[in-house]
Amino acid sequence: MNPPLVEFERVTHRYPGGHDVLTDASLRLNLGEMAFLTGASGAGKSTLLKLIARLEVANRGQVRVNGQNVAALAPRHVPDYRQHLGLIFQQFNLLYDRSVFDNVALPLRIQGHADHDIARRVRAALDSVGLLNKAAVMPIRLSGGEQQRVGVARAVVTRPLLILADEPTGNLDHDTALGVMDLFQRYNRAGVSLLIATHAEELIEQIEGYRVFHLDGGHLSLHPSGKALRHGR
Amino acid sequence: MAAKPRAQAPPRPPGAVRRWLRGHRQAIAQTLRHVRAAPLGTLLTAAVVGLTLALPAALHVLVRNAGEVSSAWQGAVQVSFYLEDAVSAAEGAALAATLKADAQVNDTRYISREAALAEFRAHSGFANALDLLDENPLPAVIVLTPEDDLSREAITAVMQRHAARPEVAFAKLDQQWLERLHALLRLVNRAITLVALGIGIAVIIIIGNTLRLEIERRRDEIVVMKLIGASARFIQRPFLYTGVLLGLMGGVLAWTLVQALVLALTGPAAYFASLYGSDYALAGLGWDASLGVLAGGLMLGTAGALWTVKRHLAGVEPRFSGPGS
Ligand SMILES: Nc1ncnc2c1ncn2[C@@H]1O[C@H](COP(=O)(O)OP(=O)(O)OP(=O)(O)O)[C@@H](O)[C@H]1O
Ligand SMILES: [Mg+2]
Repeated sequence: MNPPLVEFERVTHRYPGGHDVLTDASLRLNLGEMAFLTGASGAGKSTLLKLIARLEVANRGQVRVNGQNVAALAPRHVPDYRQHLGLIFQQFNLLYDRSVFDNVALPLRIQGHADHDIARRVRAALDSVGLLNKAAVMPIRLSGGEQQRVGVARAVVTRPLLILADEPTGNLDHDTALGVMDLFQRYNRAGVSLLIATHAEELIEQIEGYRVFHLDGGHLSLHPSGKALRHGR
Repeated sequence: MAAKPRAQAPPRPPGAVRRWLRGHRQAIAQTLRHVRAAPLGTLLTAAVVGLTLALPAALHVLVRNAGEVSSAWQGAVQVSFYLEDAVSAAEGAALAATLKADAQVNDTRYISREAALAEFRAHSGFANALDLLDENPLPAVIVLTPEDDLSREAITAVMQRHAARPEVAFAKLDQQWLERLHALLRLVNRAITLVALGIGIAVIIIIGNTLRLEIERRRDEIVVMKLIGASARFIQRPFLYTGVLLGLMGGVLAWTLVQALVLALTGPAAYFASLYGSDYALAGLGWDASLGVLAGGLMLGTAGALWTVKRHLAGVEPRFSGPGS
């Protein structure tokens, strides 16, 4: 079995003044694995991803990524740590004052890569999402699905340790969403680890062969994806 | 560092210096992006900074010209030796010739008591009053013109040297007004320093506030950058450069403004000088003052940026709640 890439060990988390979002939650995501995270609105999917990205720090328990307790990271090491993650958002979070190319190039520029290296990798990433011909376009002129593909390209361009996607298809229609899911599967077959939070269970039912973590009342339960998901609950 | 990239991910860290240079080049590109996004706002801020900096620079030019004009007049300074009444006209004229022999003296002129009275009668308008007097109240005078290039100290020394002669009742240097002017200029110079200090603070506040607004406007973008692993330094740099650029632009503008003002006044000033038989040309900002204005703008821009950027960027953080909260 693969070594665990992400490990939640009895994690409890609540926001100031709120109720427990996670209660004694444990989870293992293996290196090279793609898994889904489901649950009703407000169940805590985004919170769980934020704990991994060190946007939140758990009140109790440990969140380990690649063996490292992320809560123990000094603040000045957090940017370095985040450079090993690829984040994908429901609202795309693109920068609209620069071209598609420059958006995808941004994480590489942050990491200080040379221009020729950046050009090569950005083209490869854009090619993988089918947007090579839109490199020079400003993102505002793209459709929602295209913008999300730019977001995906930006997340994969650094070849991150782990891709975290929060509701990546939330703003897309069904067919476009399936296209994005298809992209994720292709990256996963190439060895990329992904954790995808979504409440679009009808999408997951159409994709066989992945694990689904379901959040309900602060507790995690495990299910298979595909048709079994519906019958399993 | 915790997480290592996967084995098949080969990004080798480039040379530290190249990486550093690249970071700054990117920051400059980003700064230009800021400027392009709001060219008018940038220009307006630079204009305000420029006008503000122009004030002490213009005052400096004023003082500089006053100083140069007054030192040009210094050559016209004369020393008057008032002679004892007992000194005869022949003795007086001989003394004038002796004084002229002094290497530091350009010329002397002996004015007898009678000549002095005639001169006074002709020019003073008190002719009738003089008629009431029994005798001539005016002493004989030797008017001494020092060599052109003598300093004020040297002229004073010449005066004191000859004032000690027995024929001389007392000597007087005709430059009291010049002393007063110099004192006034020193005062104005002090005032300029104070004005410049206040203006420096104003410029820091103007630039700091502009950057604060810029950070506010780019809040979403900054959050995205932090989410994809940009360090605080990476995010800060373009804003710091924007501050430096605003300061530098302000400095250039202030310089241009003052030089244009000097240029515009050169004609009238030359005409004015010609009325006094002078070929004095108005001086602009010297190279040192020019450098001062530019460096001042640059430094104040940097200070304004350092003062705000770090503080305000720290506030733009994806929401965070610590353990135990
Ligand atoms: N920054 C915050 N401060 C306080 N409470 C928060 C904060 N963020 C989320 N919460 C609360 O925590 C709970 C879980 O929120 P979270 O965003 O993780 O849910 P979610 O499963 O992602 O929901 P959705 O499907 O709507 O995105 C909710 O009750 C929410 O109100
Ligand atoms: Mg959410």
